[in-house]
Amino acid sequence: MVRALTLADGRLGLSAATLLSGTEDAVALSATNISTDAVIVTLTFSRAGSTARRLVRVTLGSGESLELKGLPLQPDDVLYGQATATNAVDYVVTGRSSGRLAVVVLDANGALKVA
Amino acid sequence: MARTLTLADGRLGASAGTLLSGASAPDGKVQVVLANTGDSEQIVLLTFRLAGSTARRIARAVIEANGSAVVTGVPLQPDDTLLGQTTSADVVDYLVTRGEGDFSVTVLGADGAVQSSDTNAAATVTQTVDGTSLQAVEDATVHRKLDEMLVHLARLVELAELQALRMR
Repeated sequence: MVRALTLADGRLGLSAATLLSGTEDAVALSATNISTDAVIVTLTFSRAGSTARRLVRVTLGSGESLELKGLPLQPDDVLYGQATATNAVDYVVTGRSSGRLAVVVLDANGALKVA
Repeated sequence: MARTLTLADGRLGASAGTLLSGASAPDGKVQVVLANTGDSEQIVLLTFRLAGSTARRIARAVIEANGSAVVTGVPLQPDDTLLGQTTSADVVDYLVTRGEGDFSVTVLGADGAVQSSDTNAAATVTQTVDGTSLQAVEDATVHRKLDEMLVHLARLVELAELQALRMR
């Protein structure tokens, strides 16, 4: 069976909604703030139907992106996402993500955000 | 048989609790993502018990309110235990999954910025100190695998000798 490369896409809503489920793969996610205001993005993960656990909560400035990669999912796991403003954060989830787990934020110029 | 990819999840306690051990351990590398859901800074400690021996610290991270930390490349075998604790119980979510790559610790602030030594000295100390201790863990793991291979080899030799005796 050929595994899909591009798995899901959309815009984050105000409440936690399923971004991806029913896959068995390591995935990568890109979430970009396309609005002119700062938005808080929260990603949570439910393993095998258990309580959703927070993976990350970040404030994205205008034009900033949250990049997550190397996150394994199984068919009964669910990745959820939400934002503090509707129609402000585009997301794309892709499969076959290799390498170790990493979470970073890129600024509006594409540079790694460092404290 | 499909390998289990997502291994454990929960919330850290104020004293060291088991995140993963025994049959749940994958005999491979694991990675942990930790998220501070509280409104105050948390000091998270991860320790590692190799084959029932003394627990050794492998990572210490100061995670600000709503910040996260990602620890990758931790080798684990079925008789090893990964433990974790934080300053305040029930505010740090964790998820343990299979992983790959070298050991690393990354701490993110609430704005998603990677914490540098200027703003979070503890994170830097962790990477220096625990990079060394993880190397020791990896060395011990390799030694154990070699020991296991020697035992298997000895058994094969015994079987071959038995077979040779039967053939005579």
